[in-house]
Amino acid sequence: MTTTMALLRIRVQGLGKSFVLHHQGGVRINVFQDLDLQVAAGECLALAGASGTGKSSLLRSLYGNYKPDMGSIFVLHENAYIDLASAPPRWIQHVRRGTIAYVSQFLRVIPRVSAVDIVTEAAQFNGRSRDLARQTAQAILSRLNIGPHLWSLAPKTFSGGEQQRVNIARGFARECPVLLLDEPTASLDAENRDVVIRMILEAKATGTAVVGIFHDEQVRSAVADRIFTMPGQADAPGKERSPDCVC
Amino acid sequence: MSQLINKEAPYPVVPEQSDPDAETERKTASSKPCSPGVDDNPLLIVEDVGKSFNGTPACRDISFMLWPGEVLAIVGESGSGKTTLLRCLSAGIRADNGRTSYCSPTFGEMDVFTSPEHVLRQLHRTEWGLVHQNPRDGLRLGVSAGANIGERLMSLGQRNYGAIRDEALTWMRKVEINGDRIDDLPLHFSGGMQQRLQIARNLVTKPRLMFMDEPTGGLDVSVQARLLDLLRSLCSELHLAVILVTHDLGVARLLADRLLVMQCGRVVESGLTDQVLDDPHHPYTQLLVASILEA
Repeated sequence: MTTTMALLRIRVQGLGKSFVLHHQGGVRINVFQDLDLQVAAGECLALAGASGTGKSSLLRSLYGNYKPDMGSIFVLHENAYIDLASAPPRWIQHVRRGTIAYVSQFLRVIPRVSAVDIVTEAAQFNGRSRDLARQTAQAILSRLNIGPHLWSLAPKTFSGGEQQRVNIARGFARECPVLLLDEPTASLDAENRDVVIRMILEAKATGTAVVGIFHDEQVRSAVADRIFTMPGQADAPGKERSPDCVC
Repeated sequence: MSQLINKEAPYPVVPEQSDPDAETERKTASSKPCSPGVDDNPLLIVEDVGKSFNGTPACRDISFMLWPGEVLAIVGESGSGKTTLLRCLSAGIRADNGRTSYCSPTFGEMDVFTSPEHVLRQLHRTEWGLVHQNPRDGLRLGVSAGANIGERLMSLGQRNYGAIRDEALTWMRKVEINGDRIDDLPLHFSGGMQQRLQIARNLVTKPRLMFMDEPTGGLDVSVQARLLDLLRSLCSELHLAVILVTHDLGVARLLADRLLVMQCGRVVESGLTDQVLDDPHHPYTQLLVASILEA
């Protein structure tokens, strides 16, 4: 055992995910199989691979949103490792509340809730007071160039870029030790993209483990420490795998 | 590194042996030890509950647990046994088999199905609430809105008219009914107002567990939306545990932490709401999810 090894926040072992479409002829889609990866504190792992190789599915599995068929996803939560692949729902919720922030590709929120309330709700975890959470929310929204005139509005009417910035603000409001980002800068202009890059770098500096899908080359090279290439459909092995891994 | 990860260890805690980084991390990352809830005892434990009507099983082998503050939605099409299950659990009808234990601050750990009638009545007036799909089933239409809200308080022995009226006004405000209507009969209220009044009537004793049967059922879309907003904020504000029967997956996604999917009287799939709806495994759940426009 090496003592100098950085603290692991995520360790995925032998992870496999497939979908069986019962109403479309029972087709089985093997999204990925036998994935191994790990992410340390302060490290950013970028998921790469062609469209359809399961990058988003892997990210969703890391959040407990998809349920893998095989393998385990250990996430360091309050000083213990919890396996999200087998944890009961209450524990997954608990780990999400305290440890994992997930920025999805598209903002999906409860209708009628204002932008500032969405972010405040996210910021209120970690034992913050409502007032402090609100200040945090306003500061992050401002930083992402969502001005006060938009705060009290529900994001449904916002532009795509504005919605995505609210989504990002919500993800960063928590200062979680694990941050999952699904193409966070896809619909952003250069200025906002640079803000997001800075925010990711700051999160890494405080020990956050980041796993992300970044199609933008510039973003990826600015934030990623390592790249994990998704194996193609059941053949080409992932780059991060150990050579002795049987495929 | 091997001691960090231990697959064999009993779930959920794999303690770390001696990782100096871990200690500092914990202090910086989360100052709060643990968000409340995960170590609580369950509020309700349901084991193998079943009920038949004339030999035809309406629900069978139902087992689950519910924790304080948790919203559990039971979804499935008409005839899947959702409402029968809800009525068994709330002791409205007698289950044929199984048991349900409820953890009451007043009565302690109790078996719902074998509890005497007066104890159940007491629960229904205090720690439990029951919201019917049709508010007319849960309201007294012939007495004023204020009296509807005050009824639970009076049954608990409150006699101070002024205090009861004040409490009724407070709850009317909370469910967004104009206080001017306190002396009006709910008979003349709109469907949405009646439903909000039914909810207020239940919440006045600050119950810990609510049973709701299609609470947004026969309401039109905009009224339904307002009611859902209200339920969502009340659930978190009052830390209510709710068992919610609905056929509307959108309602379930909005309100519920967890889902039970029922088909032909059995639970065919269960789990976190977003996981079940985004990654449905059972054919019936896939059919339900594929049948809606957007949830």
